[in-house]
Amino acid sequence: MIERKPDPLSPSAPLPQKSVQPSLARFLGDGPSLIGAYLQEQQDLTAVERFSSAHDRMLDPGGAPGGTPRLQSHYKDLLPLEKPRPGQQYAFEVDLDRCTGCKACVTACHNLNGLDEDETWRSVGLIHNVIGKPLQQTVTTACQHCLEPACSHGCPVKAYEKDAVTGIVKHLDDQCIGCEYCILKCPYDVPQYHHGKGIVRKCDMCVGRLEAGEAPACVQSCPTKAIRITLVDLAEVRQNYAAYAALPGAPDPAYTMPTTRYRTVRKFPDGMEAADAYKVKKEKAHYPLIFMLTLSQMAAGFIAALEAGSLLGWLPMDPLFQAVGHALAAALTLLAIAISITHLGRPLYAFRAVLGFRRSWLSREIVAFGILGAVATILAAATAITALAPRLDPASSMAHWHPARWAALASAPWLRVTLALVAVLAVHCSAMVYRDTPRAMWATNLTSRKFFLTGALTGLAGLLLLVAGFDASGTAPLIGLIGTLHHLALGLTLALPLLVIAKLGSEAGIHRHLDDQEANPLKKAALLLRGDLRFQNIWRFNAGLAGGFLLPVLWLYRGYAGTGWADVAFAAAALALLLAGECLERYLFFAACVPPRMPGA
Amino acid sequence: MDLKDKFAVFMRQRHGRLTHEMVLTPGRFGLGQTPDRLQPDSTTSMVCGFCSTGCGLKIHMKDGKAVNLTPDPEYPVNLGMACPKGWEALTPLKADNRAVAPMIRGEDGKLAPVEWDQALHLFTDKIKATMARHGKESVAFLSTGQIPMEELFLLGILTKFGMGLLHGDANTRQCMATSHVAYKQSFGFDAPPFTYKDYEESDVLVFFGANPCIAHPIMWERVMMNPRKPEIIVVDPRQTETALAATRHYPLLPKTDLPLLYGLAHVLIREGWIDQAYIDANTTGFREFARHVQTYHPAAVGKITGLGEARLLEFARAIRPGKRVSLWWTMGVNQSHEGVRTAQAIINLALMTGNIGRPGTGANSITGQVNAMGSRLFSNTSGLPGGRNFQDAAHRREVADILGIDTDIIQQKPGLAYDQILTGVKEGRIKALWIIATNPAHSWVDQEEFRRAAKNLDLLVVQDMYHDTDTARLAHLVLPSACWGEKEGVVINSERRMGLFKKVSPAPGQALSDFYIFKLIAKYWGCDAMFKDMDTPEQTFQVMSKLSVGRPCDFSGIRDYKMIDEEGGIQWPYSAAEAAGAATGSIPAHAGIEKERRLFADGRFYHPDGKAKFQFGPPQPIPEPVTPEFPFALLTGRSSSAQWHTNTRTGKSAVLRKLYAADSYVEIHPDDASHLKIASGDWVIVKSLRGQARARAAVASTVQPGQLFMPMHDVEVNRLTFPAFDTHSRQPSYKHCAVRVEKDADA
Repeated sequence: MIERKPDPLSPSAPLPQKSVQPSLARFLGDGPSLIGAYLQEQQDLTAVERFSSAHDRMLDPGGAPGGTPRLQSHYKDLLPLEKPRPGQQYAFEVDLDRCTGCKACVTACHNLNGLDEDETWRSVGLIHNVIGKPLQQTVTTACQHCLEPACSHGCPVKAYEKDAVTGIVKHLDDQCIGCEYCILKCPYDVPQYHHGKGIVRKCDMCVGRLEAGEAPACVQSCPTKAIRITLVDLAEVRQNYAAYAALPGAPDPAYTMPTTRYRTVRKFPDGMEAADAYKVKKEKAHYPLIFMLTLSQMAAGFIAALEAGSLLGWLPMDPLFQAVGHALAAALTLLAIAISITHLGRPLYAFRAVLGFRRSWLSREIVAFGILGAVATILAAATAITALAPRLDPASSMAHWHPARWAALASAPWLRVTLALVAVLAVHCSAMVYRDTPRAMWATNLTSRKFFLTGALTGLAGLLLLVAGFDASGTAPLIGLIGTLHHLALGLTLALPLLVIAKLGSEAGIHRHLDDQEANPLKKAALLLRGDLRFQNIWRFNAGLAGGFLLPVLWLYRGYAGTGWADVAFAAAALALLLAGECLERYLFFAACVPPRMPGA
Repeated sequence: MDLKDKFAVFMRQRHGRLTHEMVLTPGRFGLGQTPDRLQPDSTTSMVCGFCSTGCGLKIHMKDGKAVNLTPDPEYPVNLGMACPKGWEALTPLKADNRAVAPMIRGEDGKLAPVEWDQALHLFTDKIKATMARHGKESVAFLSTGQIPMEELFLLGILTKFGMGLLHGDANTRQCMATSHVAYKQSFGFDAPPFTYKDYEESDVLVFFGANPCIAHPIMWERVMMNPRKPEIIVVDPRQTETALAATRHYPLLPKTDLPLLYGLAHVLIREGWIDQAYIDANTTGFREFARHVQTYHPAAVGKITGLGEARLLEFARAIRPGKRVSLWWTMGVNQSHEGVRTAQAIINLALMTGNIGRPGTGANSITGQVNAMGSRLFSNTSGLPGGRNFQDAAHRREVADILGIDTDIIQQKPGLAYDQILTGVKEGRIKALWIIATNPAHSWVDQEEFRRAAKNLDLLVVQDMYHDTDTARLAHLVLPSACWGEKEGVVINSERRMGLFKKVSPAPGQALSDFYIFKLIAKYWGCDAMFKDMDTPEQTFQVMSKLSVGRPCDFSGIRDYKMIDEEGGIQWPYSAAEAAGAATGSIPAHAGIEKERRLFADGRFYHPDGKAKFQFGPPQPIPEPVTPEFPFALLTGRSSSAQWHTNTRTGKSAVLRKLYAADSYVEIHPDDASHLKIASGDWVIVKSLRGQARARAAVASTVQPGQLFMPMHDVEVNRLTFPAFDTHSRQPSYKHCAVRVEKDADA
């Protein structure tokens, strides 16, 4: 509608009215020419000329800012009167008694922040009381702007900043590499991955609007004024954290110290729960991470076994054996690293991952595997040169490479110890990446056990394949302390069933949560494994049993024959089945891991 | 920048392309901060195109096209607020299944695009041939409450006066027919008396079968602005969002609202809680009504409704005279086999307590669709334009004179109602059907009946903005429409406010506004001379303005579109006399246009005697009661503020899709669920005698034992509903049918 009061500062001459006279064809023409005229008129947009407010034009000549927002009177009492003082920060406050679930806040946030088509930074859920007095309550949630923001603590590239004055947890979009770890870290499902841009984005409490004295999008759009911005005292939040984001079904606030306060005069009965508490849905699988984790753990296991075996004298120090073994170790490690990079939304900036080393296990994992890759490559080069040197013409260029020094390096125990330790440490970092999240299925030492057992199982199976290969090729003399390669292979084959039973046993433990009374994340995971993920779960166990138990036991029963390539084939089959099983296990690790969430988020 | 700084930025980048994409800049035009890349170069306001609340949306324009929107802070309806549908109103325009060319179903059964010329020839040739062979009554149309009134009016006079059809109806039959008839019989004209300010000025608000928190969130905004700490009473079998937000909830048994209302009247009369002076001065038929409700003893009514006598008495006490009581209803009442009598029983309560014509009072029907009111007044279907009657010779003459047509062209009785048209199709009497901007293959009660009937048609034309609605999939000919935001016109909201649609976005492909399509059909039919004064929507508006003169809905004081735009919408009546400053009817003399205007301040109604009439009748039995085989009563309704009707538009927004349940669901009481071993989230099959629907169970005590609730937005629901109709309004009863529910064995 038109602003009728002219702005005294601007010339208020109206623009000439655009003619809306219909064309002649409309009176005189035949059918087809009328169609043409209408099609043309249909494309002719006249709203601006005919109606766009005179006010618009008056304010616009130099593109000058348009003064006070018209909604200000609606929201001025929903903002704090002052800026936060030291020891305070901004926070959302929701008056549940005024929220009726219209969800305007979600769409307003979307529109006013120019989010992409399906991107939302706020969500509205429902909690209800099923048994007893009927009660339901809609709940609007966005970023909690936590005192201990898990997203920020986990970020490997320091793409999050908690503002010292406002307390707003802001995401630096251009710093983000799109690793999505913050999504796994946040118990409130706040950071949203943007596929097109390869980064996550999140609510910044409309910091620009707050700075200009305007209300955040959600605050200014709530028809019933249910959302406001308040100042909270940091000390009070820390002391009284249970009162924040305190809703039935809400995640444990101790983890991040959220700041949103939900107020209501109602008293929620004990049976109150999220309306979607029983909804189970597969989680995102993260395929690159599945392969990266499995392969990197195989590499680490293989390296640890190779170095321990070599140092203890159980493995032959034959240069060729060592060269091939280390080449495999380096190749596996580098392959795992390469796959991990494909997981990133912006892989070009992966190098920034060193920045978060002090706080982020993901950063540490990346650094540890980086070092592992480097050291494994050095050792692979050293052993390769050592193996090749005697076969070379002394006159060749390689002679200038100081093969003796490489040989010294290849046999240096400190380097091998370092490599093995880094391998173990790297897997530990991997496990900690997941343990350091608020997800019940991951946040236990079971994750470490799984990762190390995967490493041991696949690493030893890999070593078995190597040993069997050398055994079959008959390269002599290949004898370690414990006897022939044949004996070694026998020992390795014997280890597999024990490891696989230990691993599958650990994994199966989750099914006991089916009997849990309440719909906790572990019960939901178990339900998923029995439900939507049943097929993958069955084949995970089948593959593990076939590759790690059945095949080795059969082979042992038949008597490890030392019949050359048949043994290699056996080892290859066992390894393939084990790897498939471990990849499936890792798929379930992601797909069945139900995160904590705000109701309906 | 030296190398060190460069390295620092390289490692930790605070600014750049991605950051810039999210930058907000001070908005002009009083908008506050807006995304920089969507910074408008002008704005213009228009009315939202979904529901009858009729919110004003400020469209952000860039290079002459809409790029974004925000609710208009100055529009008197919504005061800067909108529900999710309003915020997302521009998104469905860009959907890739827009109809972009006329399409004809070929031999292969597939729709293929054709030129407009060919489509229009096919349309007129086939319909002319059908009428020549089978008579005027063999062709009918079904339209909508979603398009502006100029288009509805043009359609009505094109079909009935130009083409000579007898039968046409609109989907307003499915939502507002009951209120239309109830008001007409009680007040003498279809005139919702209220203005939204009444929400803010009531002491007691009673909602019958209405869930404004979800269905009309912006009206609920106005309730929340009420400073009088009002008592809010909700009468609904289900514990809706509104019931939870209310101060009292009366969960009566389904379809016992009429006995409840008569019981309340009984108590009010017995206790002397009535305004006898008002009754005597302004109404007729009270004595008969009082006699009628004599038998509705509170004890018996308490039993029938399941509320008990004590709660009934408590309810009556709350609405007795002395306070400003406003009574509101919507689809829970309208979509009933006895909706008209129920609505009138509500009107009677307002009349007998004198709660009408004053701030914060009224018997107020909350409308459904954005232009249901425009359809009710001008669609030329159940009545002649301007709320006139086909049966009235004087009315026919007035219309003929203004339109410059022969009076004899005008039929002397209204055509068939929606359900009767479909019966005609089923029985083969109607051979060609033209459907405009509505989706009966989803929305019609007992949907399969419609789908079966549609197979009988020689020609089914569907005119819609999408080529793949459930109904368009059945069509022989699809005509592509421009939609809200792509055309101009006036719509009338719940409080009688006329607001504007504007053209802010180009229509895709060859889509044309319904107005142009009707004009083209007139041209190809050969009757375009009749509409020569109606070359643009605004010219047509002027013709309609003439038709309104002297009618209760007189809006002849409205000069043009620009005036509506400048005033932020204008509520009818607004006659030329009033515009000149004179006192008219209930509106005292004043300068300028009041922003909030209500009817009947002077106690004068529209019956010839100036009085309102008490209307009543005995309650009818529930058409399909529950049985041991179908032991549940199925209730239907809205489930989220993010969905509109058959979801053809709202389903096109990715954001709105996030705001409603992805799967169909059915609410079931925990006792029933545990008895049937159904858990929340389980797939279940709901069956009625007519069909079945698959849905996920949502175990919740919001429904009572023995009742189920399913959202109307899911296409499966109307496979179940029972085709019962109100005898007075022919409105389908969507809110009650008998079903059973069982676990889906295949899930």
